[in-house]
Amino acid sequence: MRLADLARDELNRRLAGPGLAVRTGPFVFRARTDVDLVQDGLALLYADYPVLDAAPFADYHVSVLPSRGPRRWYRPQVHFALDEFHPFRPFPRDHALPLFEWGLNWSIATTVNQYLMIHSAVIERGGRAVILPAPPGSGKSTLCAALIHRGWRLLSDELALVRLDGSAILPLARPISLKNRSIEIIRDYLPEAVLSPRCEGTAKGTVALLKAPSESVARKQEPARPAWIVFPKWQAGAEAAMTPRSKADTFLKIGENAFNYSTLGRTGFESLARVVDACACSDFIYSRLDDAVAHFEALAAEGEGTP
Amino acid sequence: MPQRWIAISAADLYWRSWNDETVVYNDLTGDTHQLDPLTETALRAFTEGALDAPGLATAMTAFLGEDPGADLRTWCGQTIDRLAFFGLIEPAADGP
Repeated sequence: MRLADLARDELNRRLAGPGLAVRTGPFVFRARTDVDLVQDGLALLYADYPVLDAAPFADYHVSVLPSRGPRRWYRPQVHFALDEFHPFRPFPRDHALPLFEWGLNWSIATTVNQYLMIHSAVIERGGRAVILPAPPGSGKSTLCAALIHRGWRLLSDELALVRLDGSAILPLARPISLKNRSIEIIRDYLPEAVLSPRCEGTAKGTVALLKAPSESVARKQEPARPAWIVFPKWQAGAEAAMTPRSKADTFLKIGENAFNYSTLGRTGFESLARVVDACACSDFIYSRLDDAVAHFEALAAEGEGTP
Repeated sequence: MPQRWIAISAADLYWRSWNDETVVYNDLTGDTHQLDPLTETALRAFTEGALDAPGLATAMTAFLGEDPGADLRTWCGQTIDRLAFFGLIEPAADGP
């Protein structure tokens, strides 16, 4: 059963009561919330995700609940919890939906060591994955959002889950967090895309969440093999250009961007080395999404038919 | 007698090379280092056995096929300091 198959009353009842178990990639999370902003957000953004009726086990028990105390009357706040642990200070109630997403990302990023976990977007075509690691402000999410509506499948916008033997990246397709100008850019570029309401004044500025395409959610069991590592960078007025980059430098930069490279030690080194071995590594500068899409089309055409 | 140095146990060093670029992982420190071809050659020389700075200069001269003279000796001293700082080599047991 998909989340969209639940009547809204039933969805809200489960969320406010025992929790709703949802599968995303290799993980099951059980969400509890009586905050309407999160309930509405989940109904919109997670409509295509499988709901587990009687999940015997959930990897993450997460909640976003209103904070108590007198402040709730004049400055309502919400807090995120993983089990009974509150990793963050309370957030303004209006930020409840991004808080849910950030909290779930945090939960996964701080607990998973059965995969090498790289901070990057990952998209796939023909079984081959492009890893897009980049710091905030590089245009990674904007580019990723455009590409997954132009023939690429979303594996993840935040966390690349690499098998420890380096052979494959597992899907973890979740909503894409768009910030500030990216929101309008994507609204204009992808009128068909489903976006949550804008959330103003967060620590990251204005945020809106983009729903993952249904096909990407449906193909949640299909890993992809690493084929390219591309460091994207948006630069005003720049002509789109893909230039090869050093593998050793790529290795170090990705290692710095991995959540658990150090924790995994030698295993992390071997895993990342196999990924870099398998990938063509590039820097990519762009200013217009159409040009970027064309460059990635060309990338996909390279060695097409290769298993 | 000059200090002799040797690489840490080969079992603690993990290498990966692409063309003329190398990264090496030190399992004792958990650090990963990027090595240029000369530094890689130096570290590999220390994995073969203990060397002092003149010994490293000899090994590097053989690798380069020529003796760059004082520049090379300066480079050898600096490289030993750097490799030791990062825990990739250590004083040899027979050292002073």
